[in-house]
Amino acid sequence: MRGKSTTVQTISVAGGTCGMAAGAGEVWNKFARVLGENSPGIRLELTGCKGFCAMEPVVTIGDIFYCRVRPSDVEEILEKTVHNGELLERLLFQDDGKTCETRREIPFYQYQDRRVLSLTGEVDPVNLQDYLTRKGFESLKKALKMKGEDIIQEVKDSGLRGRGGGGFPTGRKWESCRNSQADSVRYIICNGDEGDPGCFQDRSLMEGNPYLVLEGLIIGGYAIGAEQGYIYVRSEYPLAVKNLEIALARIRAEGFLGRNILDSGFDFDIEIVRGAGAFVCGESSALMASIEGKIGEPRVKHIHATNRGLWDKPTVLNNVKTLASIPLIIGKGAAWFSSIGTENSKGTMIFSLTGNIKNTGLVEVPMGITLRDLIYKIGGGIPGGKKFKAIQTGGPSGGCLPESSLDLPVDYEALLEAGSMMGSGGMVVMDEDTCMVRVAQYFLNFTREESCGKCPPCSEGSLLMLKILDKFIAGNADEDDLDQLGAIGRMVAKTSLCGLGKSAPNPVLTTLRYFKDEYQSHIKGICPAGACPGLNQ
Amino acid sequence: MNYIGLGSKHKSRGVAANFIVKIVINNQELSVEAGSTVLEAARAHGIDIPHLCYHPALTPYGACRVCLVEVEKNGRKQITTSCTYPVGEGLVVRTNTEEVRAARKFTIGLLLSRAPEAETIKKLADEYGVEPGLERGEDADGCIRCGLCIRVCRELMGHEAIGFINRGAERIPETPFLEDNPDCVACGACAYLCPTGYIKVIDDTTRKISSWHKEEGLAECRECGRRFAPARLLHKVKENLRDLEISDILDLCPECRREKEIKTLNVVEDR
Repeated sequence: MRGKSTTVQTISVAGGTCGMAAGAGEVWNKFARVLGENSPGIRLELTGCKGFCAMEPVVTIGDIFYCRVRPSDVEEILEKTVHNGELLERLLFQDDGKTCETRREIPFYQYQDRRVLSLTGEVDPVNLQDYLTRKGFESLKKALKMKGEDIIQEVKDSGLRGRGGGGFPTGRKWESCRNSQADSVRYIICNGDEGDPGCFQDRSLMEGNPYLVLEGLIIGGYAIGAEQGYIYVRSEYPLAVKNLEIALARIRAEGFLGRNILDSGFDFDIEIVRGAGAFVCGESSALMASIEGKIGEPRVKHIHATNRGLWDKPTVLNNVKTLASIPLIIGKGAAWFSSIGTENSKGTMIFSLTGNIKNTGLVEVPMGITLRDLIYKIGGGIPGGKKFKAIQTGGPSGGCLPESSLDLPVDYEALLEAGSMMGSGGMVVMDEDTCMVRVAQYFLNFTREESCGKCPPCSEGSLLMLKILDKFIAGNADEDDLDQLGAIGRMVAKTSLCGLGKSAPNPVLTTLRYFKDEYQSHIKGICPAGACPGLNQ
Repeated sequence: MNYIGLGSKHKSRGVAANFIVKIVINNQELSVEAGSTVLEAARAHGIDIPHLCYHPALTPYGACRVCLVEVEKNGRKQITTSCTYPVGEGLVVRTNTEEVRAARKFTIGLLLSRAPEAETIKKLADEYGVEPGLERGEDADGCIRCGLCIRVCRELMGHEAIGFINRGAERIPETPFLEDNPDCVACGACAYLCPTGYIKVIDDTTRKISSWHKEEGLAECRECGRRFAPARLLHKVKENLRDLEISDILDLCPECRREKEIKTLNVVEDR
């Protein structure tokens, strides 16, 4: 229902954590107060995040997209736009002097293909009726009439790969869990412990459309033969936890969860486990240890979790975005899902665009889009007329790619080859004023702080590298330090116990690979970006 | 439950251990017990791999990164810890390549910067020609975070009196709230396994373990009156062994126990 043609107009305020931080709560309150109890023909809705962070608080009325709305704008919006159908030009999105009257005209949305995110920001996240009227739980109904093997085959055919970073084929993971240890109890876990700096895709999904994630989790549980699922969410995501809790209670009451789901004979329940804020708990074995009530530190994984995972039982661990893709695959079919993307990376990927970029926000794009299109077409380029310098993909474990990598297609293999990775979908854009040595220092310092300390290559090795980086920043480094830095980084990658340690040197190694000249300038006492105090520019 | 002195070997891998697989270590084809780790298999055949956080009675931990070897499976090579890697038919292991030695050298250097005074680490460092990775000076506390103390306390003594606190480089084994934990009976198994001497047990009229803020009363020997074992530990041992009808020797210090045993044997011989 949109536009003036229908009798009910929906005023929708984006109320994700991001919007709330920007003042969406006050805007919503003002609407509620002015409209009062009785406002026929108007529905006021607080949705999840609509993705366009730079423009928060965002209010939409049908296709009309108002940016940076303040409580003081509310009365005028009601009077002019809602009642008289007039547009308030000052609140519309302006792109290089062009005013976008509808959301469709905004380049940020124009080039996206919002599939997994299609309802995020469009519905009241915890309103089950809203989800059901948009075909919610139809995929679960369909799945419950299928055999577990057939669901797994469909997921395999779709080409879906893990959206948490590793990119392991989801169907194959499910299959090996299903076929492991006959007659054993099995578990499925949704990893919502998103902790990369500048990453918020999983949070937005859990906050904005919890039913989709839960539906994927239930279908996964049914496919692998599990009766218990878990969602591991970090405590720093209180709104996600709250919305998931409400959603769980509602679907349990409606028979989508619990004993004998929809009279299918399938029993399945889901428990929310809250993480205490350790980045390493996003690593699968540490996450499982944490659910078991132990210290969240990684274990050696020569035996896959699908064989012996949580409490030594066969376990599937999937990222939020992976599970949120499942209802789409079951509902619309593997062929629909795999019709976009590249040869080995199918479907869409959700990225958080942040850093020195005009249109910061959450975007969903087909796999294979180039970094250039992502940054310039959707992201609107670099603000302030500055030059692009680097893009950091894959979070602190990922790498920094230079201008020459911008025509790379975004897919798992291409990013790995370039020395970075898909990761969970973080994209931090940096302009010419960014010092790459300091960027390496920032990300390495993050992993140093988050290292669990179990193995010395990670905890001690990162200290060693930081010490050398400090020398570069102070202008005291020499050529020998340059060699040392690379040698230590490669050793840490080789000898660390878990994925966190193995990938911790990536920011150092990729900046050494693509921005070596900048390190060499620092040796000569010059910081080209002018970011290191005491050095010349 | 594991009793003191009767601790069963911890079986961490759920594979039936009754059959044999063939693996190759350093070009030598070996028949090894399925379900064992590369380190166990190598040890069983007298092949030396240095290690610090491994103990045959405890769950493998993989933390010290000294027992690194190269394993090759289905044509894929990787450097990994032999104490955690399970053997399998056709596995190829190389324990002493240049790359393996370089990797060990790196991790030993990191351990040396934590415990520059520890003889075990110094010996390894000499062997691999290592300098400390990071000069810590007085900040080097002598603990390499191998977790043997914590694992023996939990897995064999059944106590969990200590655990790791903090994370990253600040991680350290400690008692809860950094104060005396009544769950600790001062048995000293932690100090016995500690590879660096970080945990020290001082017996006088009482037993002191300063790492755990512990001072525990020592029981007197029934015969000679010498204080020889923590009273609460002795009590626990008696409880656990009460079915064995040997409680009369448990109150004796090791020397008096030996004398009593000799006398008993003499009585038997005299007959």
